[in-house]
Amino acid sequence: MHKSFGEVRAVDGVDLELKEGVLTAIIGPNGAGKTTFINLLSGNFLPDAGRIFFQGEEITRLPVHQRVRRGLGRSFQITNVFPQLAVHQNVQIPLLSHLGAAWRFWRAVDVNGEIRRRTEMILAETGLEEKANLPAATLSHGDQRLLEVGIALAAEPRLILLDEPTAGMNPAERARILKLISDLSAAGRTTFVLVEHDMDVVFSLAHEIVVLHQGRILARGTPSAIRGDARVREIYLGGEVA
Amino acid sequence: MRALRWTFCLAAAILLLCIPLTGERFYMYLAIQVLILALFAMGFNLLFGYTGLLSFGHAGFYAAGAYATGLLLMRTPLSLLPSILGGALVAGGLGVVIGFFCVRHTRIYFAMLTLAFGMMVYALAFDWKSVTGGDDGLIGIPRGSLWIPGMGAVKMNALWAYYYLVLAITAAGLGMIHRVVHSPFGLVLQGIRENENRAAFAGVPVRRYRLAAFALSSFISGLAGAMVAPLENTVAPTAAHWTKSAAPVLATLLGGIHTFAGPMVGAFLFYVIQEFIERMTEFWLLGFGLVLLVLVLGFRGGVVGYYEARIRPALCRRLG
Amino acid sequence: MLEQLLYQGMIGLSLAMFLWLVAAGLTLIFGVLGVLNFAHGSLYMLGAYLSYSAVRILGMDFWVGLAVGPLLVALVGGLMERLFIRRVYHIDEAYQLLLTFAFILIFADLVKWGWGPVYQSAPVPGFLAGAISILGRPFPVYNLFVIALGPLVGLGLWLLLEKSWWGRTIRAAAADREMAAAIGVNVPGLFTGVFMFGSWLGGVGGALGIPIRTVSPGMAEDYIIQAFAVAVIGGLGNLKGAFFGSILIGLVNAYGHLYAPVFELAFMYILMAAILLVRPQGLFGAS
Repeated sequence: MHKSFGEVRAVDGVDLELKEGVLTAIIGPNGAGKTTFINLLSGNFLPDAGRIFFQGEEITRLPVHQRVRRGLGRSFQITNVFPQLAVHQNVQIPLLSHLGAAWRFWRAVDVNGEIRRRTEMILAETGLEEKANLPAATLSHGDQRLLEVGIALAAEPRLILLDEPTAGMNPAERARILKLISDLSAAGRTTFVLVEHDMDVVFSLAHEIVVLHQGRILARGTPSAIRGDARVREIYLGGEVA
Repeated sequence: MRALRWTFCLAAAILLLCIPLTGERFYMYLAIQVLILALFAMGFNLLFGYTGLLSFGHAGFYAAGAYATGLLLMRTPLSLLPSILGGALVAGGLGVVIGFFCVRHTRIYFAMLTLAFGMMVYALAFDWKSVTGGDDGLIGIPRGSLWIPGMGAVKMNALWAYYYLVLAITAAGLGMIHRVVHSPFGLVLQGIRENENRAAFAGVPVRRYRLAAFALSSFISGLAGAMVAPLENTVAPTAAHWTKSAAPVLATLLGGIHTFAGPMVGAFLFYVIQEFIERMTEFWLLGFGLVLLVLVLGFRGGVVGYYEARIRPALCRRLG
Repeated sequence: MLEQLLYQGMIGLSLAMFLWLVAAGLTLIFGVLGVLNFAHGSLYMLGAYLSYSAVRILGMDFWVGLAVGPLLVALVGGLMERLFIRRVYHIDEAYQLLLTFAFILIFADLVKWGWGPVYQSAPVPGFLAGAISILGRPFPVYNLFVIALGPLVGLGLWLLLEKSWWGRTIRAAAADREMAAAIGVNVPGLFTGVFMFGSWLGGVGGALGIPIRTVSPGMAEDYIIQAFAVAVIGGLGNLKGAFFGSILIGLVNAYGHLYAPVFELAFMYILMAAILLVRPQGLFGAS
């Protein structure tokens, strides 16, 4: 795919295949094009050139909400929740949409036991049951990031794109979210793709690492292969790759 | 403090039911106007408070309801209730058309477009003389009869009779809005208000929901306007003017945007303030503008918002 | 037939230039401050009333009145921004809209209070009075003057924004408020200044119009709706779009008036709807 903003080639010929069940981390220095790439996949931007396929179907021009319906989920680098709504309501919205119940306008939300059950399940997974009735805006930063992931998970995506999930978290919070990701990844229902800066997180979680640099794929492989790759070390420790 | 809320509702209901018993035409007339504005404001707030879309053109739908009902009563053999509902449906249809153009845009652009389209309805009311009567508007609208199965056609010329009809229709409208805002649809609308990007990422087709909210909102506003036509027996283009669009805006802000009861309380306060202003000066626009200014700068939660934040906690503590 | 078309076109152009002055101010304020000033038509109206008073009531020379009125409007705009609008920058933009909407209400009645509900007009200044023959018909010289002024204002604005230090500072602050403040730009002061300048432009439009357009309390709403139509057609926040949009609307109104006077407003709305469908960002807007 190609995507330029004016003169800047943010994504310059990235050709990537993501496999189901393989937890992939996308890393690279600032400006490498990671977030732009994620934005292209999730539908926030349209590529200038290139195509995107998801589970055999072309989704290049599909609007955001339709990609989500097809099983592509996403969380954001800057926390993106429904601030004035309660935590459980934050999770209910994608859940209702996923279950096709979101157009019901006559009966109250909680009447349906299935929705209540699933909401509680997600809140339990993310450890937020105690805070279910609080407005999302009052949560701590770490809890809000967890809620982010919870909202993305509520729609039961096959593939979930996490944009710097541990950003701004303290070690305890980071441990919680990492456990969540690794448990869910092991359960096999959802494939995770992370954009991350934190190398500890990357090397502890990822099955496969993709390194972006100046909008292009510099290297990809298993964590140990990437660790040993001289070019990767160079761009991170100094010196530009020609 | 559920009990407190129920007490208020019960008191209000009793008060409303008893107004005609006073026999005073003035109070009945005023009460009808308050009820109509309450419905108008609730329709407006469905779009503003719940969906986050601020419309300055809602008078267009109010007027559409009024004109359509007036025409149905004057030119067709339909009885009162179908004419009123017909008027509301016309307004709702207009809402679908206008909403289609407006909802695809950001909130500022949306506000601008609604003002423009609202004034388009005003211009149409003026220009389309053959249908709307132009400058003079529709004159001599009959109040018509209410067709009750088993009783036949009941003439509604008595003000108290019309009052009870308005009360019933308003209550029904409010009940409908109450169900909608507490439903999944209502929750999704609030999600769109809070964070439309996130809503899209929850799989929500945002534009379609906005259009649905717009249509429902314009239907309710049209229903309010529809009840004015048989009341006053005339409809003039001023019903569609932007100054008329200011009424639900002001009522909602007065009462409180983020509560269910806010716009209703605000409608009542609106008329209180209007009486007050009219006694002091003929420049009621200036008065309302100043009230709006004060609300925006200092009291964004409105009266009910203030009550919920300050008074209710204190009351609850006192009452245990 | 052709002469009539061209003649009406010139009428349309002169109408367009008043609209351009309002739209330019509105666009500038929106582009830099991000505020859509609903009350901009009211500022136009104030410009007309104040200049009218200066000329007709205080007996000043027309050109002095033309200078004084808009300056007073700029002052009013400055007070609006400094005392009121500034307080709502950091909250939901809906409140900005509500605030400027409140000002429409306030100005509408203030004008009626100060000048009464009468429709008024002023005489054309000496050397611009009279008409010259264009295409065999008399065309008022004053209208030609107005038509000439429009592009001059456009050129002036372009030079100001593109070529001057001021313009660069304004554009920087518009693009990134915090960054501009971080490098020492007095952003609040700049914003007040831009609001005053935009108000001044609107006031000039109003003042210029007093010889050929009646001064009435209803002026404001006509112009704000038309300015919105210009913004839709040209692109909100885009000066070039505002200029060509104004010309388009002016022409549509002039021709509409000639061929279907009852529904002339309808054409403007049809045009708006068409643009909204086909190119929602406006003819010159960025996607």
